[in-house]
Amino acid sequence: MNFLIKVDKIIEGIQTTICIVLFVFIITLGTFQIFGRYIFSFSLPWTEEVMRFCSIWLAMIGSSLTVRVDGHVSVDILLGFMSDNKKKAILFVVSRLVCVVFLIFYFPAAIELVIKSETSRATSIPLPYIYVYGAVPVGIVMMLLSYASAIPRYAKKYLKGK
Amino acid sequence: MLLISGLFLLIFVVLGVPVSFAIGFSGLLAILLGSDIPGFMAVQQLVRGLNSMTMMAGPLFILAGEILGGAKLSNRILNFCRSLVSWMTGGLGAVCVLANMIFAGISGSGAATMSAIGSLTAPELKKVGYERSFIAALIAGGGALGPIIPPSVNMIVFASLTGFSVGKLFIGGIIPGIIIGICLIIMCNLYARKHKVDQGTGTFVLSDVWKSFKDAFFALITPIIIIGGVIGGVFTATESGIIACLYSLFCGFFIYRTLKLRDLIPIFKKASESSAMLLMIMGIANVYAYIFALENVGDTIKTIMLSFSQDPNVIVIVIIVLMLVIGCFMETIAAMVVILPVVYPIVIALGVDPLLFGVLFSIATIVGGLTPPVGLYLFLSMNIAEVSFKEATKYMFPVVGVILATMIVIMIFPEIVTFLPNLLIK
Repeated sequence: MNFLIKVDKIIEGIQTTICIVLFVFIITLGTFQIFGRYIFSFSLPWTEEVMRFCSIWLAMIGSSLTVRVDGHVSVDILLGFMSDNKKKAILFVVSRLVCVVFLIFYFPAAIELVIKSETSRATSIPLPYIYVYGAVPVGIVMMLLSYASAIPRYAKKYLKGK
Repeated sequence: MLLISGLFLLIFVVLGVPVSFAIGFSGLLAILLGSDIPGFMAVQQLVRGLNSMTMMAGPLFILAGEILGGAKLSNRILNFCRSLVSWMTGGLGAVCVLANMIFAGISGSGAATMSAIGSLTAPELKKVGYERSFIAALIAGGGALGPIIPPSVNMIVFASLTGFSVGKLFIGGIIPGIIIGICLIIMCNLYARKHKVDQGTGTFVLSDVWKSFKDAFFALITPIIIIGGVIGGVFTATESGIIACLYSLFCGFFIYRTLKLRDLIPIFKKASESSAMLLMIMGIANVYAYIFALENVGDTIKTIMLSFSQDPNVIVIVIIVLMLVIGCFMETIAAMVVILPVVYPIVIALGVDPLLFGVLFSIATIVGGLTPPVGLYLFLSMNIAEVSFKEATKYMFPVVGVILATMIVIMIFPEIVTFLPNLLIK
C-alpha cells in the first residue's frame, strides 16, 4: 500500500510539472509575441500555433489534476437527496466508473486518430500532427491513473460522511 | 443519433457523472451506435475545439486571478472598499459587492471571484447580523458579476464560438455589470434598514480612503491595464491575458513582495485544475456540435423558430428564455457550446446586433449559474456561507430578479451595451 501511495505521489508530481511547464511556456511565447511586435518589431510566425498546441496538452494533462481534486463539474441533485453515507459512496463510485469506462472507450479512438494523422504536419513549423493529437491518448492514461487514486480516496470520504 | 445521445446524456447527468465526461461519452456512444462514422472523429472534434487562440484567454485570466489571490491582494482591495463605503447603512454588504466588482475586473471567472472575496467577507457579514441566507445570495450575486464585468470567461467562449470580437463584448459588459452591482448595493441598504443590522460607521474619512488607495494602487489599476490594452488595440484579448499574468507576477514579487517562489507551485496547480475543467467542457461539447451539424438540427430549429415569429426581438427573447431554462438544469458553458452555433446564424440573419446579443446571451448563461436546482455559483455560495440548499434559495430570487430586470432594460435601451464599445473601438 505504501508503495502504491509513493507511486501515486510521483505520478501527481509528473502531472503537476508538465502543467506548470506548459503554462510557463505559453506565457513565455506570448510575451515574445507581444514584445517582439512592439519593441523589436519582428514577429515569429509560429508562436501562435505552438501556444495553441500547448493549450491542448494543458487541457488533457491538466484534466488529470482536476480528476485528483474531483473538480470536474457534476450535477449532484441525486447525491443531495441521499442521506445514507453508504449509498452516497456507492453512487459516487458508480458515476466515476462511468468516466473510467468512457476513457477506456475513448482510448482506441484516440490512438486511431494519432495513426491516421501520421502524414499531416503543422502549418507554420515542420511538426508532425502526431505530437498534437498525441495529447489525447497521453491525457487519457493520465486521467485513468488519477482516477485510480481519486476514486478510493473520495469513496472513503463519502463513507465517513465527508 | 440524437435520441441515443440525449438519452445517455440525461442518464449520466442525473447519475452525477462529471458533465464533460457525460457529454463526451453520450456523444461517442451516439457516433458509434447510431452512425457509420468512425470513433476517431469524436476525438478529432475534441482537439478541434481545444485548438483555439481565443479560448486560451480563459486559462490565462484564471491564472492571473490565482496569482493575485495568492499574493493576498484581495485584502488590500477589501480595505480600500471598506474605507469607501462602510459608512453607509448596509455598508459591509456594499463592501462585499464593490470588492467583487473590482476583483471581477481582474479575474475572468465567477468562481474565482467568489472564493477570493466571498470567503473573506462572509464571516464579517455574519458578525454584524446578516442572515446566512442573505449572505449566500449576496456572495453568489457578487460572484455572478465576475463574468459580466470584463474579462469574462463566458464572453471568451462566446467569441471563440462565433468569431465575434472579444474586446467589444468585454467593453459591452462594463455598464451592465456596474448597473447590477449598484442594484445589489441598494439591496444591501434596503435589507439593513428593514432588519436593523449594520447601520454603518456613519463617518467617511477621506484620509483613510487615500491611505488604502495607495496601499491597493497596483492591484486597482490591473483592470485598467487589461481592458485598456484591448480597447487601445495594443494587444488581443489572449495577449492581455498574458499581460495580466506578467503584471500580477510583477506585483506579487517586486511591488508587494507577498509572493515567494514556492507559492507558485500551488497557484499554477490550481489554475491548471480549473482551466482544464473549462477547456474540457468547451472542447468535448464540440462532439455535440458535430452531431447537431450532421443531423441538421440547426435547420430544424431555424424552421421552428421562424414559423413562431419573424420579429428579431421576439426571437432573441425566445433564445434568451430558452438559455435561462436550460441554465437551470445544465452546466452553462457546455450548453453554450451546443446551442450557440445553432442559434447564432439565425439571429444574425435577422439583423440583430451581434454585440447586443452576445452580452445578453453571456448574462443569461451567468443567471443559469445562480438558479436552482443546478447552479455552480449557488453551490459555491452555499459552502462559503454554510447554509442549506433551501435557505440559500430564499434571497436568491431578488438577486436573479435584479439581473433579469437589467437584461430587460438592456433590451429596451440597447445603448447601455453598445454605446461604450462603439465609442472606444472603431
